[in-house]
Amino acid sequence: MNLADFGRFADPALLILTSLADGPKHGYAMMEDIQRLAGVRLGPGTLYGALARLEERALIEALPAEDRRHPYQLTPAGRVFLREQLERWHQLTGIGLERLAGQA
Amino acid sequence: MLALLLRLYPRAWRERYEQEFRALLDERGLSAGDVLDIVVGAMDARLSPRQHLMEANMLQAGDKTGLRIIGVGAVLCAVLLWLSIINGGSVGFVDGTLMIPGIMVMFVISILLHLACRKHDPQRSRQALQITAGCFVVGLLIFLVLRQQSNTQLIVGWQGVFLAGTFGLWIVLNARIGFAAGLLRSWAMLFGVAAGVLWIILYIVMMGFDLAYQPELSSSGWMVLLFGTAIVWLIAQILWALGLALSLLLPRGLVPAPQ
Repeated sequence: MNLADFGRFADPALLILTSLADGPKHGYAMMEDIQRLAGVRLGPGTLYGALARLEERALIEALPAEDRRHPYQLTPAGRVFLREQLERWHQLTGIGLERLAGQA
Repeated sequence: MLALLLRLYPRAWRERYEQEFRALLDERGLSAGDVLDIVVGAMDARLSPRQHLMEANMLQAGDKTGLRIIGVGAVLCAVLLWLSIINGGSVGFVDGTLMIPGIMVMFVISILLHLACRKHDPQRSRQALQITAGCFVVGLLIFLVLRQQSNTQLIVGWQGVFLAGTFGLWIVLNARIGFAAGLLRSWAMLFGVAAGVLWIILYIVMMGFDLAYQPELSSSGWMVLLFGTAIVWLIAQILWALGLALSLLLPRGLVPAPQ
């Protein structure tokens, strides 16, 4: 499985997985957390498009509802997938910054 | 307004997500940007139904029923078209010199598109081919029966072949609606829902063009609508084929795969 499989929901999916890395959250809490950590304001349609895809691929799972809201948490497969994606980006980030430093 | 927006989503989606979606919007509020985002999200949910929200047999049953409806609708459309030709009498605009090769080209392109997407969606491709062949035969049979029973404004020779071919082609084109809808869904998944919206706008423009510039065909105006549909269909399928070709060239992701 690759993040590119999410198509235009790839970035929102990564942001959601990152947001859930420190514990379960419901939809509004995810949106607020993503806005805080990445400066990105996800629309509700985009959020649930990404959530549906993540849930379909068993990377996240819904917890029992609390007052109409379903918190979501990462599954073990979701943790592995998130780690892989972040390590790839970390590697790319490192290479990019080294190259920029070399050109400076 | 929120209730109306939520109605845009498929039933299976609403059963799963509606309550929490409403709870989220109760906390956050609904801006103009959110309205657009929800509309686009609803189109995405309809074009890309999530497997985990539907039973597998529901999807298959829906496909089969859809194909049956399309087949029946195609035959009815073709019969109505045939009655228009007989009663409307306005077949003067049909220029056999151009139309016959044009229709043959459309048939060939249609078959090539079938072959091109066989790998992409083999089951749907096989069903579409079966419908195509079956409906062409039905069209030809209806033509032969009506030719026996009516008088002769019905046409013989090359024009007879042409009309039987046209008849069958209309059936083919209408019968492929379900198939093309599936292809458009794939296209929308590759290029986003905007592609589907663009197709709808193109369709409306083409229909408007046909109606505006063919006033002399008012008695067979709906025949023009069918012809306009065929043109838009062809354009959409060519665009789909181009989109598929492009998508095969697109990089799969910016991040290199692990070694």
